[in-house]
Amino acid sequence: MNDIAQQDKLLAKFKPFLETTSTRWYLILLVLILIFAWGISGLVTQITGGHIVTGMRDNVVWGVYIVNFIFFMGLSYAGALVSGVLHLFNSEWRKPIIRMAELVTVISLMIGPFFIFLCIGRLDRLHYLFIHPRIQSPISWDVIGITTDLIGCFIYLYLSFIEDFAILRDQKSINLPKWRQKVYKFLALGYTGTPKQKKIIHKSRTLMSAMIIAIAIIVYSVLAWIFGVTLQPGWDSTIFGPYFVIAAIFSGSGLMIILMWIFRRIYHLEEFITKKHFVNMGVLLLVVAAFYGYFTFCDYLTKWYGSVKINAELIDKLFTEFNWMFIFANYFGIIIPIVIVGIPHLRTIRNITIAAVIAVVALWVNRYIIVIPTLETPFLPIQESRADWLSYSPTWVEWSLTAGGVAIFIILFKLASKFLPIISLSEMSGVDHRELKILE
Amino acid sequence: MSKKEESKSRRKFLKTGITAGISAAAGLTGGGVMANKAFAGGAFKKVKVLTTDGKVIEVDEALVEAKAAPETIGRKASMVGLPDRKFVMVVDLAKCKNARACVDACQEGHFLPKDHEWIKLFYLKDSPQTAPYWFPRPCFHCDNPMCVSVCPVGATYKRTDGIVLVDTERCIGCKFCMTGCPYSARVFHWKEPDVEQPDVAYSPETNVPAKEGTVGKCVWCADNLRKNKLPRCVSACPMGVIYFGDMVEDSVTNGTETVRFSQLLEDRAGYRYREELGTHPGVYYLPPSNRSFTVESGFEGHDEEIQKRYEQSVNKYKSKK
Amino acid sequence: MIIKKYIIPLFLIFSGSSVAGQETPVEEEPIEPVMEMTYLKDTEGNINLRSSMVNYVNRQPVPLPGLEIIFYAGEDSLVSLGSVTTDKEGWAILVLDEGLDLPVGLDGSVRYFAEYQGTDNILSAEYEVYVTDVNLDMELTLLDSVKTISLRAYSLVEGEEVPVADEDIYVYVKRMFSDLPLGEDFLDENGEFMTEIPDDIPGDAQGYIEIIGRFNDHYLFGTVENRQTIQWGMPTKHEIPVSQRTLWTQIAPLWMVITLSILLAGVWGHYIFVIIQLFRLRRIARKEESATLV
Repeated sequence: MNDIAQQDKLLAKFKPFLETTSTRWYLILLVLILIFAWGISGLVTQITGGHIVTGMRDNVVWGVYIVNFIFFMGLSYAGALVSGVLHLFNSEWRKPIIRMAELVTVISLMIGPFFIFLCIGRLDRLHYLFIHPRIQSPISWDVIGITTDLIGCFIYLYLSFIEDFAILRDQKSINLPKWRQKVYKFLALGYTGTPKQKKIIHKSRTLMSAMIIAIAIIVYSVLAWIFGVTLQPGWDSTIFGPYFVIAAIFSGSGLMIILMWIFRRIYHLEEFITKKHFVNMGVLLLVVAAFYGYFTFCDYLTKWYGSVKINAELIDKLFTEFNWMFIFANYFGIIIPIVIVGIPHLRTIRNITIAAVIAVVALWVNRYIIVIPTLETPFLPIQESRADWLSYSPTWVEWSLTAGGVAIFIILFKLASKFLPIISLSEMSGVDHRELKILE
Repeated sequence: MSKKEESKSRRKFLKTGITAGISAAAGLTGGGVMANKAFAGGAFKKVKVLTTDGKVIEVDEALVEAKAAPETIGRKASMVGLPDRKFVMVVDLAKCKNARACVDACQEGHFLPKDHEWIKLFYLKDSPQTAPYWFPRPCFHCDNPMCVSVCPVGATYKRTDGIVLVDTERCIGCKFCMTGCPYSARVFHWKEPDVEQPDVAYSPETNVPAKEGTVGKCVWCADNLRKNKLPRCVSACPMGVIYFGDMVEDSVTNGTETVRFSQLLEDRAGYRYREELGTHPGVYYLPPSNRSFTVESGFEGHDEEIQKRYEQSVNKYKSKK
Repeated sequence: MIIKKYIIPLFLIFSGSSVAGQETPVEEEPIEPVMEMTYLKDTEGNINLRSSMVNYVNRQPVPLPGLEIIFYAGEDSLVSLGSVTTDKEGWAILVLDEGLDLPVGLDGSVRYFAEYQGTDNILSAEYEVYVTDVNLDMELTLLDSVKTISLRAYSLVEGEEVPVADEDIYVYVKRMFSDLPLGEDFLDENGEFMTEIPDDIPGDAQGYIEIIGRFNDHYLFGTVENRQTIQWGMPTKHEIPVSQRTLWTQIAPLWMVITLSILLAGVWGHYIFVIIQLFRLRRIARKEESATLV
């Protein structure tokens, strides 16, 4: 298809969304803002009342917050993987979904750290992390890693946006307010698509995609080491680094499928996001699920077989108190995606999306049963504090903030998709950069 | 506490006082430095002081000295250990019957809220056939302290004399140290402390006044050690369970009895809790052998709330038998 | 030390109490203090009278500071020795002047008497001890390279030294919090006792230790002690080098610093390179713009 024609077609597709805003859009936004406000009220309660308002106590010192933290950080991996890896390998089918992946990365990377802030007792001293750093601490590694990752992702995202900004600047079909045109013009950096400019962009993107993949692996391993370096049963595991990385890709690709489904419906992108994309992402989910299941099995098998007293206690807890969670997260969450995608007959867009939803929710539960049961199984039995402090259950404050986090994730996504087409115009229409290289 | 124990603890109080006083008289440091010297004939020394409303009055010299604010040990000073000391604690499990005097003395001495205990008493039973016992657990002040390693801001540190302290003015409350410590020795100020805090300058050696949203733990009463005084739990224990001393001097004392540290470990088969974790604790335990009381007596004489704490473990141990 | 305990809670009858009671509807129970006193004769021969004032709250001693304790000596005709205010630990310590003429009783002992007179809120208390004056000499000698302590106790009767025989005597070495016992025995008929001390007692950095010979809370003599510092211990040293690099020290292990630096330099170097590229992009655009204009 002709470049310009393809571009115009896409622009026409997104024209109503970029130009005007529907009441439904506002309505959903309002609902989300209300949820977010509920979260903020939880935050205010926590700041004024102290951490006593949460379910966290001296044994379970990190609750749902850290679960959300690792969960959101894991989602950010989706972008790193889909855009980075697929860009490096130059697979053609990635093009319509690459923008979504990048947005997931940046947005979840912005939200994730806030959940770790919620675990911090003295937010007024947060800057101590930068002015008094101790680099022996995995938290310092995390601070450095996440900052680096976030900035890298921003640069990478921007690089992939430049061409689109230029298209939006130059197009005449969509009526945009003056200020937005000016913003596009400024952000496009005077890009006109000369071979020299194309070459620069391409080189930078390739470089950054390699960087992003490396950093994402490091950052997610570091995250795992926050748990892995301690002596706690269930955490003190050498497998945790790669296990977390795989789990992150698992949840990330799951989320990608869900987003593909949502945007396909909202923007009627059936033409661009086809079943092929779902199947490809589904196969990716299957492969990762297999790896993830393998890692999970390795981890628990060795703990169970060896049965060091404290590990045995943990396993016992997992199969009694946390039994249904364990079964859901580690049996259903892994087997269902594999079955659905594995049997060609079952591979419909709807089924794959259901599998993805199960995968994402199961992964959240999996994080929960990694964090909470371990903290409830210390070496010395929990008996030293009063009865109602013994076991953990999240309070409304924690749930409100969790919901608030999800709400702000969707809000940011909505705003971003209002500002730019959710499918990369340049990727869809541009000539392959490698061909260009050969031409030169 | 029985009448006998009362007189015992009084005896002990007197005795510790004597030793402190003796060192003072010998011209050494000590709590009794301001040995209120008076002179035969009834005339004790008076000094002139200026009151806040501008009057000059005469008061006893000793009173003035006593009132002079002691030097506050700030963060910097608290990071340096007492020279040539390496403190060590030995807990004799054969004597502990959960009298909880250590807990009370600690709570009171450090102005700790009710749900924020630095020393805790566990009811343990190692295996189905072994006998249960009471296990006091202060901070172990490990020589390879995991909690210090994982602190991202340097709010907790280990000094040369072995003590691990927390600077609650630096602590950001991330609680990583709490998950780092395999002995659950650290506790968090989940809310504004509900015990009235004294109006004193903050020192990491006491962690007073307490701050909401920060981590606290046993400090081995570093402020007392500076004055050659034993930690509060040691002097409070009516059974003399806890011995404390200096490993360099090879001597530990429980307030009434002083023994050589190495000899005590040798004679009573001293060990450290969970040596395999590699944290090198500074607290040693003596096995609960030949106890002259039943372990159940430790449940008696406490609030219902305290008794409830052990219910779950009691049931668990019973069911395993 | 013959103790005749007079922990007599003298219920003070004060005339104004009924009036005061009307003014304050809730009349608080006055504090019932417990006084105790010990006697110590130190190396220099100074006599220390130490009296403690505590109040038992829930069977736990709570010191009573700021109370004036008056010390006396003598049976019938009291000699005032002085008065001291208790410190915050509840202690009042009186050091007697040397050469004081103390009234000696028939059995050769001196009665020391401490008194707190009481106030509206705190009841009065008193305590007495009977002490016979003895002297304790200590000699530290190397006998065939064995570190030997010789103790000799005697009392002075009309200028004559009379040995104190068959009494319980202790030897200690001073430690940080308390005194570590090295030996205990009965004095022989000459009032003497000899013992050797082990070679492996840790001393300070130079190997100095403080050795103490003592009548410990003796029923006749109170506490009488003799302290001497001598270089008989093992020199000890304990320090952790400030430059130590481990996980828990202030400075990180070298490999960690190097790895982190390399990683960060590598990543941020690439970032900077890409950002420079972006600026180049803009410059190219400007150049081209001006070129097309021309």
